[in-house]
Amino acid sequence: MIGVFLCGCDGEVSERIDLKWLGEVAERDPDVGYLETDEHLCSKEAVRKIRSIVESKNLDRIVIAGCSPRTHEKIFDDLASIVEFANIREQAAWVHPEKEEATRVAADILQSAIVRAKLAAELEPVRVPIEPSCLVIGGGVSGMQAASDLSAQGYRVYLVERDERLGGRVKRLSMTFPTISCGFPCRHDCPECELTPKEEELYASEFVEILTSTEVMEVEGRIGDYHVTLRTPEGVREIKVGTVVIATGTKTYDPSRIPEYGYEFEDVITSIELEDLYMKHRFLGGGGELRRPSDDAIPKRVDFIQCVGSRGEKGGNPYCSIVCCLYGIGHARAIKEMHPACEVYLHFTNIQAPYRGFEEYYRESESLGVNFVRGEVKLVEKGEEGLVITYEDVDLQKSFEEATDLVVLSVGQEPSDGAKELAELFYRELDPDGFFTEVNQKIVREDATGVFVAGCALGPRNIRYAVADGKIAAENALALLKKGEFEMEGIMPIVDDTKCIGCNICGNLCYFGAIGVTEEIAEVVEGKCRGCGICAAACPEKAITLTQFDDEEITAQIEVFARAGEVSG
Amino acid sequence: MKILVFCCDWCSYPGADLAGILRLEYPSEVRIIKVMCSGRVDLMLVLDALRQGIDGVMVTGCHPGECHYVHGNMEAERRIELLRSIFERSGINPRRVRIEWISASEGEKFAEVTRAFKQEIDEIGPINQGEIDAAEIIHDVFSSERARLVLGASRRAIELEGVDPLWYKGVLERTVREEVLRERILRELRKTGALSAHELAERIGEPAKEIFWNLIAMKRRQIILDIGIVDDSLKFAIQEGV
Repeated sequence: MIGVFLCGCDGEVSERIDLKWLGEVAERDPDVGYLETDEHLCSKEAVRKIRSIVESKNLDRIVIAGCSPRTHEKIFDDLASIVEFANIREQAAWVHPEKEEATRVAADILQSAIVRAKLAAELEPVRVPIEPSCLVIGGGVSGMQAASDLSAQGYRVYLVERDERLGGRVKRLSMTFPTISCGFPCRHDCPECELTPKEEELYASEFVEILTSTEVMEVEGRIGDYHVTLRTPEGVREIKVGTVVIATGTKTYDPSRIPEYGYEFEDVITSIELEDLYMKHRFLGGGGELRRPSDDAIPKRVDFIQCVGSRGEKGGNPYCSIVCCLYGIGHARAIKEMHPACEVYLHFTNIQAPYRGFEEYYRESESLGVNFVRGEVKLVEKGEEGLVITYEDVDLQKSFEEATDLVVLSVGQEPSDGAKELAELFYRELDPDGFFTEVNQKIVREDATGVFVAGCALGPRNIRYAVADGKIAAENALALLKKGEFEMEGIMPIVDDTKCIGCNICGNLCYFGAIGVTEEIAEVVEGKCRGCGICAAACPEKAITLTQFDDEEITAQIEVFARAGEVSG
Repeated sequence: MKILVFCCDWCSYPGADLAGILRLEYPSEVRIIKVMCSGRVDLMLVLDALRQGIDGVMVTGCHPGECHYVHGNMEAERRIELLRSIFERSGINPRRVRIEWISASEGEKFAEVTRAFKQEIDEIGPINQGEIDAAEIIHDVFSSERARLVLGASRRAIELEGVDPLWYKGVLERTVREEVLRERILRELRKTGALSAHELAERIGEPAKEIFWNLIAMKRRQIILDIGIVDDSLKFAIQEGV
């Protein structure tokens, strides 16, 4: 027996739709055995009431008519074995100002929900166990943080890094800004530094296995049970994990793609190479000095060029790379402090200074003698005397052609090599820029993959946010690991063995490898299916039915709409 | 007038919700059926709506490249395009079906495209009996194996095996047209008992030669049989048990 609950939504529905008449339409259906109208179905009292009515009246199916299921689905979901929603607020009350019209539309929507409730089959929830382990791909600060948080809770972690050592890009940085310190990034292995103890902690943990110089080759499986094939220096190895954190970071933009910046010259370097220069002198002794590559001389003038490969400048990537303003200014200040006589120019089009403390840091550097020049750098070339930089100053409305000793290109970030292949292995989407897409927070839906992405793999981040991301990804993975099992949403294709001819059209269409012919007929891989139904729509024999969205249910809805005028008119 | 809109759970259904949240008015003829993905929309369902007298069917999904299931929306587009080209030569106005991309943030677009669709249906008028009958035939074609096989294998052929998409589209359209013709032949035979190719040609309005070859093909598949020469012409009838 079906129970129908109409919600007035505090006037939002009840003032725009004739709920009394709507109730009469519902009651005309012989299967509807109970009707209730309330102004606030989503209130705690009303939900309690529905629960007791369902029990006392022995209702196995209910229809909730009110707001969109996207709003309050979770509140009503477990009140009866089958719950259907009639979206009469968003699809009727709010879009049709005429009350009579809105009521007529609402009646159709309600009837189609009742029909669905009649036909819906009770589903056995599919529960899949979660292997208590996690694979973290990428040993940068994000991945290290995730590995550390996961292992702290006692779960087995495989930390895979393509490079020889952990630390990612951060390990190449000589200092971070604005908190000038060798804090996280320093590679001096000083015991007081942060990166080193983090690395040591991971190496010391009995729960973490660190696999450097290792890459992911193949992935099989589903949430809670991934079989991952790794290419390690010792050979191919297969591991089994329940969850995955992807923290593959970014690579820096290759500035030779912008020929006018003269990257082929020895004294035109990227910001990362500037870090290497500092490091080199620190290791050789004579730290605290900057000497240019060509002749080891201390430069008398340094020009920074910002937005190299970012913000669409000179055909670079369209997005802002987040970190370059801060490190550009930071380096400019550092050089000014090391060599006060050195002239430092910073060519920019816009300074993006969104973090706390950064605006002050930027303003302060002007008073420290860094020359900020707003305008485009036209050309960096090699003259007889050395490098010559041609640039415009928009504020002065003038162009300049001046000699310089060292040019630093503040290169941006872009998706790391292999991101696309990795995304394909895990059936993840990439955005048009090639980064992993972030989970849309507005579409609240449980993750059904057990794969979480953290850090710069999602787009340019600074260190702080990359670390925070690692923590978030670890939290998400932990939530799943602690539950120990995962309940699937229940929308699943079911193959009729007697009809299937083994053509594998379903297998060719399914992007997720959830259905396909392995031997004679199509089989569904539980846990891999995401319930889109592309297979059911294409099956030449109509051997596949999709639970909750099978042909019968949809055609019944169509019939309700096609007959609408005759029934409720 | 009745308009049916298929909405996908990820983009266009929340898009329709947003139209509501923004209190945007759209035609009250619109009824929405939710599916998880526009790729779930079997052409049978679209045709089922038309044969039941619904005047226009719109399939809506995520923008290209944004499908939550990666290529469900492209599959939906392929199907709707095929249907429109079939309609052009089957007496159904192809403007009765269309596909639109609506993201979850495009409440305004949902209202706009439904208004535009209503206007279009207004222009071409309510679905007539001829169109309903044709929809019935094409519905049966898309519930039979041959058309579904060729359509379902499109992605494999074009994207995985590198078959020329234009050529495949031609094959697909030809196959479906042929099936439509055979379905019409069957209906005539069912009505009248036994007919010759010429008699069928007269009733159906297609060249006798084409009909004859299809009769031969149908005979080979043991759907029909020839009952010999009656009144100077070879007559065909439906096999028993078909």
